[in-house]
Amino acid sequence: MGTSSATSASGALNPFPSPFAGGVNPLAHIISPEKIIPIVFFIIFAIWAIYTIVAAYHWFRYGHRSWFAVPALALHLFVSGCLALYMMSGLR
Amino acid sequence: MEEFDLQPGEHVIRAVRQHPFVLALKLVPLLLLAYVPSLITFALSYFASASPQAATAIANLPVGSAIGTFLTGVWWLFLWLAAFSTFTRYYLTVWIITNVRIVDIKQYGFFNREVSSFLLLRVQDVSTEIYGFLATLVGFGRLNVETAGSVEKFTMTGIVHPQVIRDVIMDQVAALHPAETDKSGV
Repeated sequence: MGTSSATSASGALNPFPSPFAGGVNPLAHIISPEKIIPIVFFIIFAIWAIYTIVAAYHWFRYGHRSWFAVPALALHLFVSGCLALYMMSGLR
Repeated sequence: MEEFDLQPGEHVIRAVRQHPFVLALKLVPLLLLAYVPSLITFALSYFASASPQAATAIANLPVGSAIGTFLTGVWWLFLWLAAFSTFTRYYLTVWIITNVRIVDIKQYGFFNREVSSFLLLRVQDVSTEIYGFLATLVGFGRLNVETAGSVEKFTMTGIVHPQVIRDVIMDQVAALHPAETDKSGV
């Protein structure tokens, strides 16, 4: 068998070089966080909005006119809003 | 009520749901999953302290940065949606006991719902089952109702104080059979 590229001249095995070894993320040139995060945020918001509409429909349609439907949905909106603020807290 | 109309002279005696403790038990796994980002951060810091090369690689990951906060928030948001779905299923699954019948509403998920009702006149047997230390201590269990002419047994699990609900049902059944009750001397 020939000499492997992972074997040095002294015969010792060298570890596989990490793509992050240089201290630079190579993916950063391909995927820019500034461009990706708004798209991801929009997708998450769309999923959340559809979920909220479906949940509200079930609460009002099948809640048998319960007084609890409005506070439950208000709690959902409040917690979701807090989490959305937390998500964006580190972003500019 | 939209799903069933009350007959003339019919009124709701009680609406029965599962015990809140049962709901809390269902939410515990989601609560544990909320700690996953913290566990990942802890594991990465452990590996970073073990090897300088790993430390270099981990330093480039978006942990602890704005993107890490964003991903943690996304994770928690989806966990919250799961928790709210669990609560919605809990609240919309209900037995409605009227003076004429029992309406059994089971919400298995969004757009997945089953509604059945049976007359109290057809009730033949009502039994309760309370298994386990927690169920005995907290006070929840299973209620089974068997009806005449129906192979299916109506069951609701994890309801609050099933003995009390059984007594409520049997009182209503007895009220619908006054002549037979007097005849048997019960």
